[in-house]
Amino acid sequence: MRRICVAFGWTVLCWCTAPKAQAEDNELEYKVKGAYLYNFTKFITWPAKASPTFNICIIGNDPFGHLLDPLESKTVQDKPIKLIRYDSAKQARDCDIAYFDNPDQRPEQPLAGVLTVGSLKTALTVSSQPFFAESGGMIGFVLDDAKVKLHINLKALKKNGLTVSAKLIEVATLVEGGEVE
Amino acid sequence: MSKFFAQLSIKSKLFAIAITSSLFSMLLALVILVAININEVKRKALDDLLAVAGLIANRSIAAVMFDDANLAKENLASLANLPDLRSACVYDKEGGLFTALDKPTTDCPAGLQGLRTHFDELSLYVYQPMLLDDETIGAVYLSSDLSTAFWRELQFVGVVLLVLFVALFITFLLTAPLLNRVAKPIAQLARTAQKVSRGHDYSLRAEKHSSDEMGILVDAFNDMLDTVETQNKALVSVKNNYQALYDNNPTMVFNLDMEGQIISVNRFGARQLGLGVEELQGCSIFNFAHPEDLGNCNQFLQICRNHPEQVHKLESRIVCRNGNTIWVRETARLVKDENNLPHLLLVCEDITETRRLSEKIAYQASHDELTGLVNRRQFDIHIQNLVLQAQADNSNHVLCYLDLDQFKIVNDTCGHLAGDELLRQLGEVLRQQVRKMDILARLGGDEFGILMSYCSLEQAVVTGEKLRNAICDFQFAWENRSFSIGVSIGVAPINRSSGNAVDVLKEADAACYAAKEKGRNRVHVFSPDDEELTLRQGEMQWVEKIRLGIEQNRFQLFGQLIVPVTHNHEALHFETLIRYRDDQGKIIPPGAFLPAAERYNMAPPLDRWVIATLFEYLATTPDLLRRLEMCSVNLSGLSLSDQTMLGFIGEQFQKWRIPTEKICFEITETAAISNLSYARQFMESLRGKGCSFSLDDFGSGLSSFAYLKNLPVDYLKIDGLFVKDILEDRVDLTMVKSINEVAHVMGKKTIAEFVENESIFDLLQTLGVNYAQGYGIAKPVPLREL
Repeated sequence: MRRICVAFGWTVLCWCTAPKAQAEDNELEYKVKGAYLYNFTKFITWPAKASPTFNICIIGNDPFGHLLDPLESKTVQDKPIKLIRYDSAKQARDCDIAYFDNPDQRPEQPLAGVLTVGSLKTALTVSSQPFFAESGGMIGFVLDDAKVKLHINLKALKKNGLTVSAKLIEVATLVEGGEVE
Repeated sequence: MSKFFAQLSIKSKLFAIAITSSLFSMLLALVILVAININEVKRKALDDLLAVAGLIANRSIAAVMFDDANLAKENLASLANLPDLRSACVYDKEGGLFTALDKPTTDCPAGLQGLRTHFDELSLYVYQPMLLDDETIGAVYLSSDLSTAFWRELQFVGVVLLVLFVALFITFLLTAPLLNRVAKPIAQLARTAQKVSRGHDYSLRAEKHSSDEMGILVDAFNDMLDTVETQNKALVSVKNNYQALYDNNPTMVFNLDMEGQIISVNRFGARQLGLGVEELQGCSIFNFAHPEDLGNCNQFLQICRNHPEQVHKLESRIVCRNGNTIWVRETARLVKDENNLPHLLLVCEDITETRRLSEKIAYQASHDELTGLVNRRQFDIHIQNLVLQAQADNSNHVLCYLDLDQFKIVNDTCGHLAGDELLRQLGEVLRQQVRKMDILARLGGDEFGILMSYCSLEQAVVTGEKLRNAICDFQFAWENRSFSIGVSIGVAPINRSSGNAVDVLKEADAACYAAKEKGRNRVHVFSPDDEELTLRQGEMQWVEKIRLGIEQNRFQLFGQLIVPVTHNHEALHFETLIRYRDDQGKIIPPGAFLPAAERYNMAPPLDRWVIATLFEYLATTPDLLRRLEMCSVNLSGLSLSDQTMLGFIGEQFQKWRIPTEKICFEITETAAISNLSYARQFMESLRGKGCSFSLDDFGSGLSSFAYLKNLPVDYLKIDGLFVKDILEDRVDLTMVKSINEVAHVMGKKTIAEFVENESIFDLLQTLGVNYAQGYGIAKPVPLREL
């Protein structure tokens, strides 16, 4: 019943916003990605840190809008989640999760391999950039048949002291590359 | 069901109980096992499935969170090998079906709503939510088909039960002998009890196999049998005793129905009748009644029926089978049997012997035992009848009274046997002389009576003469000796004027007495004078007179002198004689009363009186005693046989101090020989004291010299009958002479009686007789005149 209602809801929504179909596809995608960002906290363990809050940093373009706002009412490791938006990676400080949006929309953004060093040392780097994980990023969102898939670079994670649950690995595709010697 | 169970034998019951309890326990075990197993299967299935669901849920968390349906499916695929699993479904956070196990049976609900863990018949449904940090991110829903598991468990239970059954069967086989050991003694006891009750054989005993309750029961049963056997034996013995009493009771005991049919009879009764007990049953009692008693018997039965409470008696005859008639005394009473039906109890006592005896007694009561003639009593009745007859039709009848004359001699000399035989023969002689209608009776002693009915006096006298002649002609022979008997006959008429029977008899008696007085052996017809004679001199009156005479001292002692023939008499010698002084002072000679005294046993008292009076007189008259040489005293035959007489005489001698040598006792020969041995003893005793004895009247009686030889006498008195005619009769002279000679040879002195004159005395002197006594010498005088 609930499903029927949801379907009905979606049908009404779609019918009413037909001209905005493309925009809505994007919104659903980011909603999933936002949820995934939170889900990562369940499967990845960060090294201990004195920070009172669990900081999720949106670096650069913010494709989520208000979709992430509900996260701020949740906690990770008994720490309240705090959303911080940075325009560039250089500005970013104390990030536990650092999300970089699609570079196709923001070409001025530095490469992931660059991001892994410097101030974002203990942050989980996530990005929708293509080949992000293959190029030194930790987790990359990849669209496959309109579904958001994960590419994980275990070496990058280990390098930054993060441990990842096997369960997350089961649902992701492991990639390598981008190591900085 | 319980009825059927009750009919089973104890063994079957035990088996049934064992089998039923086994089956019941098996059933219970089955139910419990099934319940436990089903529960276990459920629990296990639930645990397993929950674990699986938990695992799947855990493993699928990432897949659901990151929307990886394939991974979830792969996870589920690992369940495909679970045989019972029917379906496995994974739901996402929103409750939508995320993925399902790729299996043909898989049938997942579209949504999560209403899903929960539960059993539904043979299916198990498990709902496992996926939890991550208390947040539900999806769910796993598994369903499993338990039928196979259940079936497996049931198979297992079946196997267990089979094993159990086999075990029970083996156990049963093993316990069957034990059950048998319980049931068998009971069955044996039951069989024994049945045998006892069927065969009434109380000697059987049950066998004891154990000392449990069964053993106690067997013991008690055997004890009971002991008691029953003992009591039964006692009862049988009592019954046999009573049966024997009944059968051997010396009376005939009949049980009759109301018509006289024999229901039962005792053996003695049957034997008496000469038939078997069974043959008699059903016979009528009247079949055995004497034809003459048939009416009485019928009446008797009627009376018994009419008066049921009383005991009735009847004497009647029964004819036995062999034709014998027996007299029985029937005692009957109506009794009621156990069914309250009346029947007659009849007891017949054989009284044939009693009857015969009473007839005999009746005969004896009316007949003389010795001669078979009518006796005095019966004769009196006949006289009375004839007297009445005479008074009635003016007819004439005659009564004859016969008294034998010499009977006493036969009796005394030859003994009573001879006397009896003589009477018997005379009875026969008389019977032949009288008419058939005449009644011949023995009236006592040697007296007979003849009652001649319808007979004139003349005819009677003729018949009387005929009788007298017949008796005179009759010679009685006894032990080579012969006796002639005479008879005195008194004839008395019975006519209209006759008094009663006693009077008539008295008249005949008086006539007979008169005939005797006239010289015996003659017929005398009664005249009133005869009666007076009898009254005056009759014996009977003397009995009382003698008794009174002794009391009133009416008797008087006389003495008659006895003198020596050869020399002059100086000393006094006399014979003591007795006289009776009647009311008028008249002296009556002893011939009148001595026969009566002899006859009625008055002689011994009279003798005692004589002795006592004589001794007293002698003692009180010393002058006489001094002069006295010898005094003789008569002793009767009865005194001689009186056992106390000897003592009396001794006492008197002592009392009066009479010199014994001066006393001589005179006895008659017949008196002495009737009891010779005692007489000898008597005489020897007194002779030993100094007394003398003389034998009186020798020659008139038996006069046997043989007896003389045996009698220790000193004097022999020759009977006066010979002496008085000695002068004329040569036979008498010879007899006196020979007696005298024999006596002298024997050393005895002789005394002649009846010496009536001088000539006789002289002749006696010539003959050599020692003493003489008689009227010619001295008449008897009172003692004081001697």
